[in-house]
Amino acid sequence: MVFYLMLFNMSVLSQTIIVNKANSVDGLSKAELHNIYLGNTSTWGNSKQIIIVDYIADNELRKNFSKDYLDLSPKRVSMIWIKASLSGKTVPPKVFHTEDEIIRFVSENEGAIGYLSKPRELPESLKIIRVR
Amino acid sequence: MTFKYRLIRFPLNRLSSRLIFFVSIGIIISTIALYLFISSTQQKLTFESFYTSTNGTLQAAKLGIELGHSEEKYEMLVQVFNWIKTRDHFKFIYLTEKIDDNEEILIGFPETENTPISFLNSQYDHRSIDDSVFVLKTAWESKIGTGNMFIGFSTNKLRMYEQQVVFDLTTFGLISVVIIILIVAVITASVTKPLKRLKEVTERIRKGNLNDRADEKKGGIEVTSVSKAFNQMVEELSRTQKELSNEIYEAAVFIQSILPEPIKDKIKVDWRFLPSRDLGGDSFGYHYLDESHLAIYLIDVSGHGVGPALLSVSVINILRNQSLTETDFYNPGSVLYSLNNIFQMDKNGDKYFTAWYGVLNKNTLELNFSAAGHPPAVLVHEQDGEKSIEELEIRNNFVGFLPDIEFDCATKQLNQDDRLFIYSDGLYEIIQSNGKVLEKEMFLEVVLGCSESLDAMLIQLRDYEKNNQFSDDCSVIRLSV
Repeated sequence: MVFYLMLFNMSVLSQTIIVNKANSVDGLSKAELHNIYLGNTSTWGNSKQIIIVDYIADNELRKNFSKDYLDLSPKRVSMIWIKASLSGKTVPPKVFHTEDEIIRFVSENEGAIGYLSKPRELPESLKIIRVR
Repeated sequence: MTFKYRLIRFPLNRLSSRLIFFVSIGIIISTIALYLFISSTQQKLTFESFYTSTNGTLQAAKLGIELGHSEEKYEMLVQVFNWIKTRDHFKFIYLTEKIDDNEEILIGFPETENTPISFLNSQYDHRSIDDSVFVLKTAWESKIGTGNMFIGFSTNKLRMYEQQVVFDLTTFGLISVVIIILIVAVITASVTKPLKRLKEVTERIRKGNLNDRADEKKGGIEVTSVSKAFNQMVEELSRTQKELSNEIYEAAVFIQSILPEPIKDKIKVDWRFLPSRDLGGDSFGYHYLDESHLAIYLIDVSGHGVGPALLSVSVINILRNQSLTETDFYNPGSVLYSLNNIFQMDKNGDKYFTAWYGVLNKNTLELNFSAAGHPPAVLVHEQDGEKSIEELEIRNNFVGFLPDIEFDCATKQLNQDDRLFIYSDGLYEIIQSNGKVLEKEMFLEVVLGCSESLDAMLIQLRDYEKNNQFSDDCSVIRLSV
């Protein structure tokens, strides 16, 4: 299973997108992911609030993620979020330093979405979703 | 000193008006000066404190923005933003972001503001509070970006404060002017009131009430000292005035004493003499030159006072004692000729006199007379109960004008029961209460009507006088044959 996951991920994209197990979503398109991470979509299908989880701005993983999925530099994304948060329209991403912190946070929050660098052993409370 | 403009007629010759005028100008000028001084100082101070507080807000906001930005603590950024919005005088905030060479607005509040960065830069740090918005700018920098922050502050409160200063100072100036005017009014009243009283006292004293005195107790020490000095002066004046009037009275008594007793003979001579208050120059006399010739004479020296009185007395003494050389005392022309040569006015203090001189023959009732500038004698003739009046005109120059001039004489035959009146001009030169001089006809009427009684004549004539008092010496001699 682990091997399969690892193969799957590496063959398609470099990052692993994770959500809480309670989340009913199984997969997202690249455009949907883009909209979520730039604050254009703020709720899941069951109208639950999306809680975005990200790394700090100078994290290598975030740089790759921004380039692969958002087509923007991390600074630019940050600016977009500053603007969004100051205008009070959306809830900005939670920012963490390490993958462990992200794993813990997503396990504990039902609407959270985050990403990891590579396939790894995950707690029961998480699930990986595919990006088409 | 009076302003003669049409709009302003301000009597500056009044002490109080002058004080109020100049003090008010002083206050207005000092208020304006105070205003200029205070307002510029206040403006500076207010601006400094305004600048300090707004700049403090700016620096604190910068720190918060930079920190929140670096850490991507968006809640913190929101808190900083909300904090800025609650600052005093806050008007707007703009956060810009620099991407490569471009600077664009990241966010602005209020969002309706759609201001270009160039405008913000041009308005930045305007040190004048004349503009309604005062813009401060600071650059911020963090790991994930750089940019500028502009915060605009409203200067309305500063303006209002300025207006308040102007209003306060104007009110202060006006209240001061009113208070000062009241104070000046009270002070000047304390000076002018006693002065006014002093003026009233002076007025009463001028009218003759020498016993009146100024109040020495009311008013300030300056006023009371003036009142005291004034009273001393009046005291001294009234004392010397009394002395003088006593002396004049004595002189008048002396003149009366040298006048002859009335003659109550076949030829009757009676007289009345009313000397004026300040002693005049009237004098007269009569005496028999021999058993049958009666000389009568009356002179009136020009002017009033002791000088004319002395001259008058000396002339009368000469006539009474017949102490004129080469003079025929039976001939009036000769007598006046001699008198004229002795009493030339250039040797007698510019005094001249008028004279009437007559000699009556008791037996023939022939009157030989002459007059030098003197009013004509009046003859009242009575026949069968019918009275008639006649003026014995004779024209000559007055005595003392030119030396060696002849004096014309005239002769008049008197009849039984005739009355002859010889008088000085004081008897008929009467100014009536309507301001007009008594007419000659009226005077003659009075003489005719009162030929029996000299007292009645004087009373009636005196009643015409406006002050019921003869202003000049008044002498009248009545010769009854």
